Amino acid sequence: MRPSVTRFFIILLLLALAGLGLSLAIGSVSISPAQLWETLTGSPYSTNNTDDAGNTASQIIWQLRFPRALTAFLSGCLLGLSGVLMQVLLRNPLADPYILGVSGGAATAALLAILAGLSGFWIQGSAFSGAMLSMLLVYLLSRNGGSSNPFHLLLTGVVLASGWGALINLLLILSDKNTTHAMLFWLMGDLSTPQVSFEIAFGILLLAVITSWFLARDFNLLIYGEHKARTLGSKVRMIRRAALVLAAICTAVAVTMAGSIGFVGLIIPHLMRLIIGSDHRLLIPAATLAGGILVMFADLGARTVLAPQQLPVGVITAFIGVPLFLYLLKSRRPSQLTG
Amino acid sequence: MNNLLNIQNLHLSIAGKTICTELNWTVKPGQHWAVMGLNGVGKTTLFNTIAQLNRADSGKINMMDAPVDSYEPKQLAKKLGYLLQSLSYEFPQTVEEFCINGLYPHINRWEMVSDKHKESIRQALKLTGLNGFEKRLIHTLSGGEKRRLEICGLLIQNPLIWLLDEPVNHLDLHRQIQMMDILMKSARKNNGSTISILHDPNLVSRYCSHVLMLTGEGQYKSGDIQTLFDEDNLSALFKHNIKAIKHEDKTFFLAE
Repeated sequence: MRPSVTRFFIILLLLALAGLGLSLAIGSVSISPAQLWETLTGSPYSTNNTDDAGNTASQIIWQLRFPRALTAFLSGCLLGLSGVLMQVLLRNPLADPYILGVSGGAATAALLAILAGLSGFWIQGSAFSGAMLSMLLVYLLSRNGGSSNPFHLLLTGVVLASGWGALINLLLILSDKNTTHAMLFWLMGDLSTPQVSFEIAFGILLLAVITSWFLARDFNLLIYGEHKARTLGSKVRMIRRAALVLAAICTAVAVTMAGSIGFVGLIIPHLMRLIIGSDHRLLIPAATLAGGILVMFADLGARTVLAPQQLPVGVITAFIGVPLFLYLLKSRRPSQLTG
Repeated sequence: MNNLLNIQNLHLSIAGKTICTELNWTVKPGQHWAVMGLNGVGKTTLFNTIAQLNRADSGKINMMDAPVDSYEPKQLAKKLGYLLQSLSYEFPQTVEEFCINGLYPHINRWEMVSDKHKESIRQALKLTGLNGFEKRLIHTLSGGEKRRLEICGLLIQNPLIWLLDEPVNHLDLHRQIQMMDILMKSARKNNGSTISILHDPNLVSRYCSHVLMLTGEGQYKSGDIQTLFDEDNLSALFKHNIKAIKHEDKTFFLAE
């Protein structure tokens, strides 16, 4: 591996650690580095922490901030990876994890659950089912004669997504004020109440990263189109199906964990392409890590910038992402970004 | 092994249009075939069918005495290379990354690019005049440079049967000759064979030994150039008067 690539991945890892440290230390109760270190090195309910301050710090860190930072990181990772997969699958640089209506399906189902007065697990459960159902619909509807072409898939997904969008608006209009607020928060990305177990989310992420990495060389061919990939011996149909399923599961888990957080899945793959190039063997791990980092920092901003008011994390990812993206667009030749 | 490619009773149509009804065609090692015909007559569709990108309505396609669809995709790609008519470049990639893709059928999933492979990439870049372009992003290349890069990718793939769909597209005259020389030479080196879709009869008579003329309505003529290349056949093929002009010991064809 080139030294510059190694250096870049080390920087990403350090950024992830820094983001985690800051997320644990900063908030309405600030925790000093010494206290943080003490809490982290001791076990969560260490008997050393008999004094009140230590106990409170430990509780804040382990019960509030750590789960939240981890939720942010994992959902960001899932979105970064899903963004790369969708862009390859649809051969479209403008594709993002939500473009095929996965999040729309999840949101519609989640809002229905909220409207029905369900809470917690049931909302997340419906969100996940909604996401998977939506993906299944896209897949079945876009199959024509066994070969699914990217444009057909894209159009089917976009049309379904706008259908979900209309349903979401209808649900928002039909519900009372309190419910609407809960719904809006869910729609814009809510990390305050993580409902998916980290073990499951992490397991799925790991599996998805490894599988996508396994297919990275095929993705390198697929960006030139199905014909080119097939003439070089890639099993395109199987690989496209795998990419669709992986992207759908990643997006579904991310949406279930944190609602729809916009922009990460679109901007992160492009950002990483600008920095390390389009070789998917590097792009996949880089976009995964960078997505997690962006959402973790965005969440830190979301809960501290206007504290005690919490902002939806999707607003912050866009606030960080839009200027960063525009700056890169301007400083590099546009031809480097898209065809 | 007598035949690289043996097509029997191939029936092929696309969107209700018949391309061939009873195509029987054999390509032997060392032959250089041209496929000629008017726009839309089905030359590319025929290539796509040979390369297993399309299905034929009926008929048999054998590659080296085995049905072409019995090969594993990677095994097929080692034997059969296909220079597509054009590629689209939606995502930024460098010339070097593109070249490594050409090795796909030859290396395992986790295999690192060996020195031998690096050397083959270096050679191919040199032959196509793209040495020094390794770090360039592909969409900063000109149309002709992109075409040379696609040819470079095929040289790295290094198949036995070379399907070339308009190989000289976008190339200047000097590069047309240079690239055709390289492609024909590379195919001959392994006792392979080229099949090129070409529109210029003079390029065909310079580089090809045989020609398959798709004359429309599912009809065709095939044979060696000496027999088939005359004013009547070419005029009928192009639906345009073609004149043969003798210069020294060669015959050139001009559209009237």
